[in-house]
Amino acid sequence: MSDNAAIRTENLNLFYTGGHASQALKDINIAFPANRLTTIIGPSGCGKSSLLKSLNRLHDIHQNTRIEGEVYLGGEPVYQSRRPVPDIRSRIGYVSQKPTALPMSIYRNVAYGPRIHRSLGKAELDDLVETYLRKVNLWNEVKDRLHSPAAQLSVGQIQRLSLARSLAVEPEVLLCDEVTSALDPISAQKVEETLLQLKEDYTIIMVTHLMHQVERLADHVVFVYLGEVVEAGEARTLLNHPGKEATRRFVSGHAMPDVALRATA
Amino acid sequence: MNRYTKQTLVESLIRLSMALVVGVLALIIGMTLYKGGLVLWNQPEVVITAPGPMYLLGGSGGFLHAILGSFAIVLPATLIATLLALAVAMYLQTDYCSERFARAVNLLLYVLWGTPAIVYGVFVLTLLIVMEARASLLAALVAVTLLQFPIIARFMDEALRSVAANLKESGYSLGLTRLETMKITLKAALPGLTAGVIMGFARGLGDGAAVLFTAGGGINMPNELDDSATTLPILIFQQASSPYPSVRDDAFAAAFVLMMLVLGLIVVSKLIANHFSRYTQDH
Repeated sequence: MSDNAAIRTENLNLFYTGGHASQALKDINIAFPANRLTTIIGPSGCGKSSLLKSLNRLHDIHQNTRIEGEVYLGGEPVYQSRRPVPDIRSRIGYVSQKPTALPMSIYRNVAYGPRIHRSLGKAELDDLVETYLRKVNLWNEVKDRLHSPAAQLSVGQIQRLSLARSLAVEPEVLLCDEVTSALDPISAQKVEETLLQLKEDYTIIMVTHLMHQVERLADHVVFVYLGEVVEAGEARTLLNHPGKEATRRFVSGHAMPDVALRATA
Repeated sequence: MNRYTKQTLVESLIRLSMALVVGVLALIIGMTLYKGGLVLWNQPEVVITAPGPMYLLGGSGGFLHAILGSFAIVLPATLIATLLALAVAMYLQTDYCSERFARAVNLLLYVLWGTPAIVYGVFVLTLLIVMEARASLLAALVAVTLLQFPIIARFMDEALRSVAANLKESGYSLGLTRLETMKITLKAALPGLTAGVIMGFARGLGDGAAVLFTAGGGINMPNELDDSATTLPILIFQQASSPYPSVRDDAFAAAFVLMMLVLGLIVVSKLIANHFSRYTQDH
């Protein structure tokens, strides 16, 4: 499995230092297979988002975090790398839980990343914007107002725009952090449909707390509990025949001990 | 006491305070607008006429020198203070420095904000004495810059801080550098940043104490950087303390002009903020 891994971690540890010092991730060794959709599941506050953000070095932008271990993106180290961090991040897309429009037009939201990383002509940019807006099924809804502020779209549309914006940079891996949790059911369904189409061509790693979503979307599941990977494997196997008691309890909707005590962001 | 009586009592006190504050404000503004308006109605030319040689002694002419002096001092001062404040506010964000350092600097900025303007005036005056220089347009410009800087810096820091963390995360994860991400943050914070600049500008325009000892206060038209200059607040001070009734009346006209300028600035800042807030997400 690790042969065709798009991204994998090696003894990854994450510490929050400062006032409320704690260890958020403990010795994570996990491989995410290429061109599959992997969901990271687990109770709130157990390190799902922390794991996701450590894959594209997003913790680096905050003070009071320390990472040990390594992440390999296509065999190349992400942390012990001579390449500038922005270059590495541009190879790993990230869509956050809260739908976010950059303070500019819809068009510029999609074109912003590509314009920074490559030199593109007007016609190429126009094509690119259309391609990625179509990819996330947003083109028909916005094609007549490409140059109006993106902030005026609905939250669901903004979330699909965020997807398009990330994809336009042509990342190898796409990280999605509970991307439907802020959306109404219809918008959430549209985002899910988009992800289903995208997983044909991309390696997607998605944090979610919705078991139904896991059943509908996931090829592969990683169960994280109290900062550790308890179990990982093929979605069907893991959901139907969990190997560990903690996994069995979680996927069958039982209360998890210790969680309330460790509620963190 | 009955809950409803308590509510009636507290709310009556709130209404009373409100009426008191609004009443006093209306009185000040109303009197200035009325008396100043009367002067300007009868002799509108005072706004565009340079003062005659005996202007402050009841002589002929207007106070164009103070209007121009105000702008010659406050416009460049605001520009310099804005650039300095922007750099400081950017640096104080978590992208660049630790929270502890930012808190310490912000505390100092609050102290500077609360420092009476006369202190900046006396500080620059001391420098002038040490350097054996005279009070001048340049000296006043420095004093006003010092006065404006902490105000603008605090406003800008708050504006940048209020930009949602996930906007920055979105920027960084597109592979943007710290500076490119900061550009997006600045754009998202533009309404707040503009408000900061305008607040600093209005404060600089309306302040008398910082320029009282530093500008010189002559009745010449501002010409060179090391010339003596006068601003509207200095002029109002000079006019109001004059024994000549006609000069004292002119003080209201000058106050009218000053008030209108500040009002205009605030309206402009609202318009700018509205324009840019179309790009800011409110959901």
